[in-house]
Amino acid sequence: MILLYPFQRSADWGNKVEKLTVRSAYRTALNLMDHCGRRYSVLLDPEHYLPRSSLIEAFPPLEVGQEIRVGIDGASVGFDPSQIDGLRDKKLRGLWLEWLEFMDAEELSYLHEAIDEPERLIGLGPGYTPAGDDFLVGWIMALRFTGRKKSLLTIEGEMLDRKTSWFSSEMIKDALEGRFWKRGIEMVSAIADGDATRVLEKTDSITKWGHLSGKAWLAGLAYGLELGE
Amino acid sequence: MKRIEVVKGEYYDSVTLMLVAKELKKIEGVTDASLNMATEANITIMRAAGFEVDTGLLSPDDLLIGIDYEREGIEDIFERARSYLASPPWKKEEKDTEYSPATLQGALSVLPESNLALISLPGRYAAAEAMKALKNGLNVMLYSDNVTVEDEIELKRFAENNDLIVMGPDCGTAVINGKGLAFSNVCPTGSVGIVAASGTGLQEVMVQLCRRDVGVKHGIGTGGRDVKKSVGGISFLRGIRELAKDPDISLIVAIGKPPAPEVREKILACLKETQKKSVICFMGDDPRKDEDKLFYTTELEECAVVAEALIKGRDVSMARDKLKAEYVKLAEKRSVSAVHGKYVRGLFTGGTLCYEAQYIAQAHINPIYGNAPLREDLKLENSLKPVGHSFIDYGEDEFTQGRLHPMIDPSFRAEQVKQQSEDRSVAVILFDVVLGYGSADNPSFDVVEAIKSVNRETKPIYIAYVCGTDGDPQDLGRQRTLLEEAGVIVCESNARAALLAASLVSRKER
Repeated sequence: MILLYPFQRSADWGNKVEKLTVRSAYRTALNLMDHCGRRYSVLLDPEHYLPRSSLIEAFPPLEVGQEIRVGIDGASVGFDPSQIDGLRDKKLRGLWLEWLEFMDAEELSYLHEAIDEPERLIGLGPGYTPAGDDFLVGWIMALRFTGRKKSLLTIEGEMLDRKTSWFSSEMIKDALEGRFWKRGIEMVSAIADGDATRVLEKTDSITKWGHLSGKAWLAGLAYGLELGE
Repeated sequence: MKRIEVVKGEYYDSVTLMLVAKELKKIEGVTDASLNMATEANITIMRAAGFEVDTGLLSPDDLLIGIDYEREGIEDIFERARSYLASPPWKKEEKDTEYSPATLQGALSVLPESNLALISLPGRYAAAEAMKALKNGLNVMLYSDNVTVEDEIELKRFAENNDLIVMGPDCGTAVINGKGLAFSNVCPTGSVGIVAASGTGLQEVMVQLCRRDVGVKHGIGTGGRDVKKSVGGISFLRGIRELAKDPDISLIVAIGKPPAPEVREKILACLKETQKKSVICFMGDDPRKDEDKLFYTTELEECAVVAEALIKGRDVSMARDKLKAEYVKLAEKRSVSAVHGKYVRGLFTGGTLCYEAQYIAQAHINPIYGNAPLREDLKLENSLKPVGHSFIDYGEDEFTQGRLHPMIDPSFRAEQVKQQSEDRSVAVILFDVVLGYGSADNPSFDVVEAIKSVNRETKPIYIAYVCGTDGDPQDLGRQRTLLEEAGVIVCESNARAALLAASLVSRKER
């Protein structure tokens, strides 16, 4: 059995050697699944940090379905997926309001029809992480960010597994548990600081994330920030 | 083979249409490609270019694609045009551009201390956005045209009541704190403040001042309609008052076509109140004698010469006399033996430059027809078919609906240069090339190519003025060289170019 030794990890990856199954392998990311079906990832680039992930210098050749172990005990903590600032001021509200307009583009317009019933967003749209799921994660993050944790928690794991892809379902479950991707955490931190330059930089990089994922996520974040205003 | 294809009910902005046309023209065998929204003016232009347009079911919301292809398979070229429109090839190059706010709210949240909004939208949306900006406490530069006079008055009154200014509508040029907005040249910052109801007029005076080492701190554009009776000079007057308050400004320059008489009186009274020296240049206005602190001029280079003298503490009369002497020499220096034909055709991209050229040339040649003539009875029936002496402004609305301004896309004006050059009755082609931010990257190129392609035994004389500075991104020296190598006489000001063109023809007639 192949054993991987990452040099850095996220704070939520426990200090033990896990036996994991390779679920998908990409050029810069390896997605692994434990016996409960939870996703773990081994990455090459710290910019792609997400919950239960770790960094390694290089990947050995691996195949989908292969069992491996990850020796995490020597890895330092490099990222905390639950470290979210609180929204302190709304100085940049004008900017996040325009992210809502991403939904006016034809390719994301279907989100408008689904936002009244959040369950309808699950699995909605094409792609590896359907835009509806990205929107939902942004929305959940905004609720955490503004201290409204209870909303949306009616979504159940079973429903997620049934309605969307494994990877996307895991992303939403993490969000519901209060754990988010690094790029999202950096964005809300920049918003919390009222740092327009950083917010513009992050907006730029997030809009280039996937074909539509970044835009859908930003629209969801803006929607969540506005909800209940 | 020339053919038109109609795409019903699809709107594209004029930059996209220009870029698609440019891409298509790169294809071997494509001798012409023209994409225009089906407005009446554009249909006329396309017909003049030899395309057969059936207006039966057309509306201005339809797109016309005109292709001239000298080989088999024109359908493929149309297919390519549609595919470029759906997925513009230059978009790939733009992929790495940084995100910038797309709304006024977004921009304000990023730059909360900003105090000016530049609005460039189709006219029907522009007034509402301008009002939104004003209500957010921003001064407005309204680049858009086709804003109704009622909206203009409402915006300007609102601004005035809230200690703000609206520059425009149809304001192509402004300089605030030495920074150029929209069409602007790279000029030094100094102690001159300008209020201008004309865009290229402001550019020309700034360029002429720059060539004389005099800098401008503010150049406030107002839009040409501001000085009409209906608007009453609201922004012009506000601009003067703002310049009067600025301790860095020691000289105020007021530029425009002649204002309505009651507006002129208000402007002059306002200038007198400032207690600062002022130079006034209302082109075509009756000449007036200078007063205590007011100096009257009638053309743009003279305006700059007088301003320079005042800033440098020199004698204004001597400066004027020197300029006049230079004009006399200029006119006499050139031989008329090379003049073949009878008429001058002035083909301009800058509206004020066209106006000034007519004003100066009329002392030598008459009548001068045009699409924006000095007198209404001299208006051409068809701007694409000039007669006699004709001066055309290709920046007029008839040429810019659904098309780019010729300072941005000089190709259409270049085609007209070629066409007019082949008319044996034409002795002189006079034209402008405007440099600076906002203008085409290489504005002389198209016109030079057009001149080279002229198929006439004895070509007309070409006289040009390049309105630009050494600091402009297009490289003034390179633009001049391009023109001169094509045999164009390049003059030092618009006034000189007009004077030379008109005097050559009038001397030949004598």
